Amino acid sequence: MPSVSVTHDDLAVVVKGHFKAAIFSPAWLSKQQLIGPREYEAAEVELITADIAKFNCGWLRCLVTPDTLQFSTKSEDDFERVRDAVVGVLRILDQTPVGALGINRTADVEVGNDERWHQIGDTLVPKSYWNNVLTLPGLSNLTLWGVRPDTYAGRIQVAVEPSASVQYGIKIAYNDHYELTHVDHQPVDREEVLEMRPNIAAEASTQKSVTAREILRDGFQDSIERSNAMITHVSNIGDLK
Amino acid sequence: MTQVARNTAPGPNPRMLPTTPSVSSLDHLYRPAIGVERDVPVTTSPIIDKAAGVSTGGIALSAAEVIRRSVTRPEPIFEPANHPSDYRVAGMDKWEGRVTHVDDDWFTAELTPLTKDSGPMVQAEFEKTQLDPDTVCPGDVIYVTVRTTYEYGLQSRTSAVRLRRLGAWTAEEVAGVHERAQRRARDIATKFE
Repeated sequence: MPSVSVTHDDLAVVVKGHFKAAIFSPAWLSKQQLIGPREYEAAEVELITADIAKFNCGWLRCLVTPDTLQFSTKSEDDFERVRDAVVGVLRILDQTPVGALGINRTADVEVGNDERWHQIGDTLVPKSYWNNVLTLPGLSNLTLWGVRPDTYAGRIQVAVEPSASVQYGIKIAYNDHYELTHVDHQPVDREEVLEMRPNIAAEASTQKSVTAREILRDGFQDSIERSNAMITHVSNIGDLK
Repeated sequence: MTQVARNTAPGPNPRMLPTTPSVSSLDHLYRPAIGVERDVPVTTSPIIDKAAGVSTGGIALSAAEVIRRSVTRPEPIFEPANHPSDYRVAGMDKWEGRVTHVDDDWFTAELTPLTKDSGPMVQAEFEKTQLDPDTVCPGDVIYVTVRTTYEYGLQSRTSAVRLRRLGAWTAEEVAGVHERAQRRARDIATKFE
């Protein structure tokens, strides 16, 4: 876990593809043995229609639409179980075409006081550039992209914004985005980044479902460790010590 | 975004903008199917339910918050953290392991750290009540989380044990895994011949 004061810590695994939302329900997950009897009994269904399935099974929150499967949890104890549930769904629905995978971590970090809180915003986005054209400029949201540290196509995205749940807190959203194909190498300069543009229309295929499972099985912990490092790094920007 | 960071760019290219879902509405749930009609990169950021952003200064009001504050509603009540203000998590370790022995009240598991370079394999005993006492059996795979916490200056350690569920497997799937494992074993063996 990051070595900072995290007050809320969410994980969401998002798979883009072609899904039939109507088949997803607590009963189906239970029948497939992806949740246990306790989770099934604790299930709360918000909405299940032909196009949307939205329900909670204890620690597991599920949202399925025609192009998205999103399983998430608010408990760091259950990060691996969310991963397992997604892997299980992709394995069981192995003929479902998949186009992209995201391992998302969202953390609210308490930074202690307003001085340090502003210091983070001012360091990330220096206000001197804006003062002549904007009165009292402040950071509302900052999103950055970076290249992946492996040979998968995709990107690392990090967004920083004020926390809605902690008074002097920031929300850091980390998106480990995979397009489920390999590249010979990652860009090494900005020209190359422009040449290797993001995949505008990710083709979905069943082969990519296999790749998604491999990534979740073999690369999940690395992704969590990268998000830990990012949360710690951003949170320490405002350290005045 | 890279093209924004590049000073020669005339401005953000709409083709490159991420398809971040709109918040507080369901319209983002009805986007076209992947790879069809859409002219922007696929995003795998989670769909969220509520807008964020509070307060002013170095970090500013979000647009949603400006709108919210423009009506005569009470000031926001911050959602409390999941613990008292003096509570601090000083460290957390995670293991994955296999249950090796079960008796009346306890079970033993062999645990491997999930985090790199965080120590050797260990054996540990847990109360059966930390899982479902009626179903825990040798061979079960578990996740163990141990936290070191401080509350009012006092250190304590707490653990959480979770059963791993891999879903239902058909006999054909198990046979396929077995075949792949044997093939891999043969491939490794040939490297030492």
